[in-house]
Amino acid sequence: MRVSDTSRIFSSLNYLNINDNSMQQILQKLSSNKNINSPDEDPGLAERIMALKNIQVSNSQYLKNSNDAKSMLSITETAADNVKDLLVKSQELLAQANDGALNTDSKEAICSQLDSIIKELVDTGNQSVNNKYIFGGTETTNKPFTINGNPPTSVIYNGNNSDIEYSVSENVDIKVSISGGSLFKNIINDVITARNNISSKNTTATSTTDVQNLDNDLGELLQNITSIGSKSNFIDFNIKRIKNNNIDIDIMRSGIEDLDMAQTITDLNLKENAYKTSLSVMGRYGQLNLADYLR
Amino acid sequence: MNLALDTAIKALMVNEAAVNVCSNNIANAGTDGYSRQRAIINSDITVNCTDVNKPMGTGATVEDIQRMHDNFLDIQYRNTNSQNSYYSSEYSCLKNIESLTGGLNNNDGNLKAVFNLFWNDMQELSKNPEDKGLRENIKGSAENLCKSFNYLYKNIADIQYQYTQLSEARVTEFNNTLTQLKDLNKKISAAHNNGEGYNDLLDKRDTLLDSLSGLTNITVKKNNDDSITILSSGCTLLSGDYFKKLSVDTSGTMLNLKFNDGTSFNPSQGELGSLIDLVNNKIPDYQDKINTLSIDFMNKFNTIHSSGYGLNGTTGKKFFEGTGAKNMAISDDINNVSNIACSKDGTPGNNEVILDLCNLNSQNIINGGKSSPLDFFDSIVSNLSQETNHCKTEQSNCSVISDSIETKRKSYNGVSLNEETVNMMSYQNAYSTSAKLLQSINSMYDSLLSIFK
Repeated sequence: MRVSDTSRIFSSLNYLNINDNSMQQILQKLSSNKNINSPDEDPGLAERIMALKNIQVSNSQYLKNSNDAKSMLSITETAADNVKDLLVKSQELLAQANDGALNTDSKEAICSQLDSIIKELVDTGNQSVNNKYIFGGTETTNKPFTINGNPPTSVIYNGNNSDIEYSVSENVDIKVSISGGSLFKNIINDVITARNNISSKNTTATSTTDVQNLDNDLGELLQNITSIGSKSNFIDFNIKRIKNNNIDIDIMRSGIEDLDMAQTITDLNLKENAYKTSLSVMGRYGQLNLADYLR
Repeated sequence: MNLALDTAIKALMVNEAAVNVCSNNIANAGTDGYSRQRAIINSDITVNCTDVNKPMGTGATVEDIQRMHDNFLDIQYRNTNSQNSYYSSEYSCLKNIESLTGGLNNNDGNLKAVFNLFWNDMQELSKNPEDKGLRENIKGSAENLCKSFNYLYKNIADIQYQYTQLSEARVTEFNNTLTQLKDLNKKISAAHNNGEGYNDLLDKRDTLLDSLSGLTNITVKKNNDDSITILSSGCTLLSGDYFKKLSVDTSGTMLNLKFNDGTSFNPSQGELGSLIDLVNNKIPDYQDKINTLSIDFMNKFNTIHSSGYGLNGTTGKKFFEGTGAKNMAISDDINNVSNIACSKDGTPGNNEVILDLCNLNSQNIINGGKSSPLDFFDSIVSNLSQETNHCKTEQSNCSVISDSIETKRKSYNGVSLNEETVNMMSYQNAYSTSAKLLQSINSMYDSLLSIFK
């Protein structure tokens, strides 16, 4: 093929350009440390990266929600444990009160102990976290329990029995609350009744009905505590699952998106050599001229 | 001896002319669009030499100064050049839109990132629906979401406007090129008819045709008088000194190219072809998609939101207002954050409505229930990336082909200094030998004349 000076310069420049371009691409990859910098470089991979990143975004939110759900449940669990202790204490007091040999002073002492237990139960039921009452169902801004009468005759529950759910995974909402209506209301009322029966020396009721009621209450409470525990377990499992999933996804995403440094630096060396060679060839070839050899 | 003298003088002239051609070539070795020339030297007529009664040659003569140019390579080059500039213009525009969408970066202020932040804030609110601070957060991130939609829409509209402006500039360029080609047609046909040389005009014309091929696909026909007729997509752009002026018609909603006789021009290739495609199809298409996303999301969000209750018992409030991505905004009611509806039954702790709103992210509510908001946005990016990638591949294929044709063309048309040096040497030698010849003939005359002393 005939070679003219313009074609020689044109094609040398072309080769330089090609090498320049591939150098630039590699440098861009190295400086961003990413295999793909914009989706059009590889639409297929980009689509997968976007999908994986979506999962990561929602996973991290669900992880946060799960942790919050867990702390809500553990607050509830602590409160329920507290209630259990108070209930057991009331049962013991009731057993003491049923001792026929007890004098009036002792019974009054028992009553005042029961009074403080009732107060503690109501305080636990009115517990608030982040300025909201956690045992009022979805009525979170009103104090759930108020006591009628002094000495107390009954407790009024101002909340409702709706549950609050947190979203801990896509389309999985989990109940994180137990309304005070189902957890406390009967217990408080039963303790109040028992206290009043002791105070009015209604021994038949105290010895049979009240003991029976408190036993039932304890049974129900234990059931509630178990269900909170199993929810906690589920949340723990969920947290573990999300964490593992995040690790898997990060490994996948990194495999696609992150740069294989060793490979790229080897490529860079190759391209650099090619670039140097094309530069030096152009420099040398360009200097050659027949006129230099004529005398 | 007179014959020898004549021949020797002609030899001087012919070689001088040939060196002239060399010198012109060397001078133009770097000129863009220059095609090397060659002196076509033929042996002159044979006459009967009366002295010896034998036919004898009478030296050499310059037949023509030929322009070495391969027209076939021109046709190939211009075809690929039209495609090349079509795809490179499409590529740069789509790449622009792609970068507006934010591509793969989730952490910059692009629509996707803002969307995710909005969702995160909603999730946080779902856990504490009575918290006013979290409600303020939602209001802020919803405002950001609206602004991102507004900006994205406006930026795409700006690109459309810029490309419309660009097409006006290109049409002016197109008209200028054709005006120059028309003038050249006139000059060339006059020179042809008068038998004058016009190699330089041909060089100019080929350069102009090359740049015209970047604007639109062209077919060039050569007429008998060496003038040309240019056709493109069924229209005659130039014939002799007849040419139609092109103008941009933006009176309708579409960008139209119209000749001054009212006919419209729809080039399929070249930068003009791509500009029409971009302004009329591609750009509005992506704008529509962004619009669909915003409208469907807004409607569904508002429907669910208005079914819920705010902190103060209000219900039936819209969250977003606006007719599309262009003017999407949070509604005035939301400025009072207590109006944000999270509750289904009016109790402050109920979060069923806000949970439903959170779930919208992964529900198929966009584009007639075909995809979820996130998937739809990803599919826009994905579509864009595929189209961009396609244009890039096509463009680089075209440029490889056009570069190889251009190399061939330059190697055939271009000046080789080595060749010129060799030619120069040979003509220079011939010239000095011819001079020597004159000297010999002169001494022959001297010898002859000395007889009469």
